[in-house]
Amino acid sequence: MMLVRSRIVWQRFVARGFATGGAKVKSPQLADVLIVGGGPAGLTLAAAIKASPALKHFKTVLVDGGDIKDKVGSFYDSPPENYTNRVVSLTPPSLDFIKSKVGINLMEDRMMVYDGVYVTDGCSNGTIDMEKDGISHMVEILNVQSSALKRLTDLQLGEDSFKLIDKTKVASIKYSDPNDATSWPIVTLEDGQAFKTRLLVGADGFNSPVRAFSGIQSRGWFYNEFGIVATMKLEYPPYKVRGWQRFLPTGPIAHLPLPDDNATLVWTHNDETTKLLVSLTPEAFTAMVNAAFVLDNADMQYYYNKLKEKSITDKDLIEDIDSRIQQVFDNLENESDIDECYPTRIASIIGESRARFPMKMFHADTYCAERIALLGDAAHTTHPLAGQGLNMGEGDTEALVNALEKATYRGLDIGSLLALQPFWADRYSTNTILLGIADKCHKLYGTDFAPMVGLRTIGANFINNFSPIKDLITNTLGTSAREPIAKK
Amino acid sequence: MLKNFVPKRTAFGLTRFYHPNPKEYVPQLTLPPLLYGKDSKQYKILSHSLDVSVPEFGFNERAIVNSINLLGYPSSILSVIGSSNTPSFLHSSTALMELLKFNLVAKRYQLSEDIPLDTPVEELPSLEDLLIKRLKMDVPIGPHLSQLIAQLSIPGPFLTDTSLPELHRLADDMIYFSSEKDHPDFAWYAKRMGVSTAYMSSKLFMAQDRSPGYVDTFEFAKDKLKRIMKLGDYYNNAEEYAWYVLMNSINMAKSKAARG
Repeated sequence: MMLVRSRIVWQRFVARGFATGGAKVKSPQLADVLIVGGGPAGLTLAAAIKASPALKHFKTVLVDGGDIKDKVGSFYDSPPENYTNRVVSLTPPSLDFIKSKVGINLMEDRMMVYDGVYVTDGCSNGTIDMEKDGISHMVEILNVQSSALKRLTDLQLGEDSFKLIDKTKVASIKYSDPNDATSWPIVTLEDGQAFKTRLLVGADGFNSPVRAFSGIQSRGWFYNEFGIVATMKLEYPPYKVRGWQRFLPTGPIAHLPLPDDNATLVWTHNDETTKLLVSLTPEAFTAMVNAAFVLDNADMQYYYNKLKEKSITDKDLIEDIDSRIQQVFDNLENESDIDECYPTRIASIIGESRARFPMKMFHADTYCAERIALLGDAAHTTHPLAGQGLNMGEGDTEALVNALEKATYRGLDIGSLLALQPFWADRYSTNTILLGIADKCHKLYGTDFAPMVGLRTIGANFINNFSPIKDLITNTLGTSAREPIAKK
Repeated sequence: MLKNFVPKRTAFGLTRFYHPNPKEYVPQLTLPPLLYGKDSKQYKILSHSLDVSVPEFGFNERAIVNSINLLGYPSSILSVIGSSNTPSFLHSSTALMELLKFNLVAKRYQLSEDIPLDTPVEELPSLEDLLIKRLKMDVPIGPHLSQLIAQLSIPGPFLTDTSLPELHRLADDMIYFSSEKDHPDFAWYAKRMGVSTAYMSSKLFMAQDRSPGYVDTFEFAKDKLKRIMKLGDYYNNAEEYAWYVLMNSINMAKSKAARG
């Protein structure tokens, strides 16, 4: 025993000797749950653990490389006037979990509930009008994060119960016994702190270091497309509060409502065109967004070429787009169709809110290994066209909390595979369905091949007029493929 | 081909291997499947006829005889040239068969002559470049291309032993000496078939092409190659998708069985 202890002391001594000045090596602190990543899923999980009577005694540590305490924390108390560009849709079951189970009070005045999505085809008149009251809510990601943080602050937890370490990245992860995968992993941070944890949760996004450590494979593909997000000001608050999605052969464009005269945009395009669109002046970009919801793909291609060659001025572009849109409106049988079939026109784009990010679809083989659980984007990434990304993450969080609670009631070690597997079993099929819907829609609408356009138009119009299928799709999307709350 | 990279000293046995190895042998002096090398009389006569006589007389024996006369060789050398081919009632003379074979083989070697085997990938020409380079080699004999193609595709031993293998070797060389990614799986065959198709259809187009400098042919070839490569992309995407679905189904079954 003495021998072992003296060896450990010696090893520490050597380790300190080798450590560079900045990072002091300390002996690892113990934690029950260590969450890597302070995104919506990570923060909700921390709040859920601390709010759960069965789990609140577990010492929880959350690590994030970004500025969580100040930037995210201040959002709740002093939100900016304009809406931020990272907006997600939160379906009723996700909202129910966040509100009633975790007890998070979201900033309701910055959320927008909407009543369905109007989906159109950029190559034909195929339309699916999914109408459902309160189908989903548009929420800023910062709203979810800061509200979860607020909930954690309100619980007034001591250092030994919950610890939030931000602006610090994970330096390395290793097993305390390299030959035993069931041994507690030791997570060393950039600042030299080390944690030996019972359960390591990876909520650390697509390039998850935790997933890399676990050796779990993630399968899928990049779409070779980028999404542009932006916050938009409308000409007037919309009459009909619903989401608008138009599938152009170059990628879908979506216009989703925010409170009052605000709305948010997600526009998918190839690498080159997104760069072009982001580089346009806000006025020209506004005109292009208005055009994309009304004009034909051929018109859009004409504008892209003109803009690429820089052979059109902003003024000419805006005038040309306005006149062509007017032509389309003049040809409508009924003037009220303008409000029925097209989103409210955009007046402007909020200054710096344009950003682009790559589109991909990946799904991990499993979400858990001994002592490891993967949440949210670390386990699956999806195209945003179905608005399910965050809901999948929240669904995972709920399932993980349920699995941990059940394991605790049964006296299991919460880091064991036996305790974690029900979480994976619960979520894998649901996530497969949601990933599948987004990917199939993307594939189906990613072509302007005439027979394909014809078939999908017939399909879309059939679904639109045949309510059982339409209701099934609407409910699947509106509940993120989970049971509706009313039936619970 | 090997002679480009085998240093002489190893060829003469400084390094010996347990298993037979081409490095141990003197480099070949011939350009297989031809039975003679570049210094031979046959090579001189046949390359002369391709350059000078064929554009004038087309692919027939008169072209070879013309070159033999111009170079001052005895007329009996005609039988030497044709000696490796089996006479056939259905085909041209054996010497002419040799000229057809020579046309294919010599031009294939020319294609990769100035690309050393150790060229780094980023400096290699693209597949399109090589395809165009090969098509350009046939510009001088352009008017006689239909004659050439007709003779190469007469059903019989010449087709199976020379024309088709040469086409496949050409496609193989084009992929090998270009920056095109190669595959160790079934796609190896698919890609070579695709390139062969692009080359042959461009050649047929060229035989009918009357545009100045064959610009239409080169356009056609580029487009054809792009389409075929796109087909390859479709296949790869389909394979990727099928593999994903398979793994996904296995994981799905596992997740159902894992319920605690």
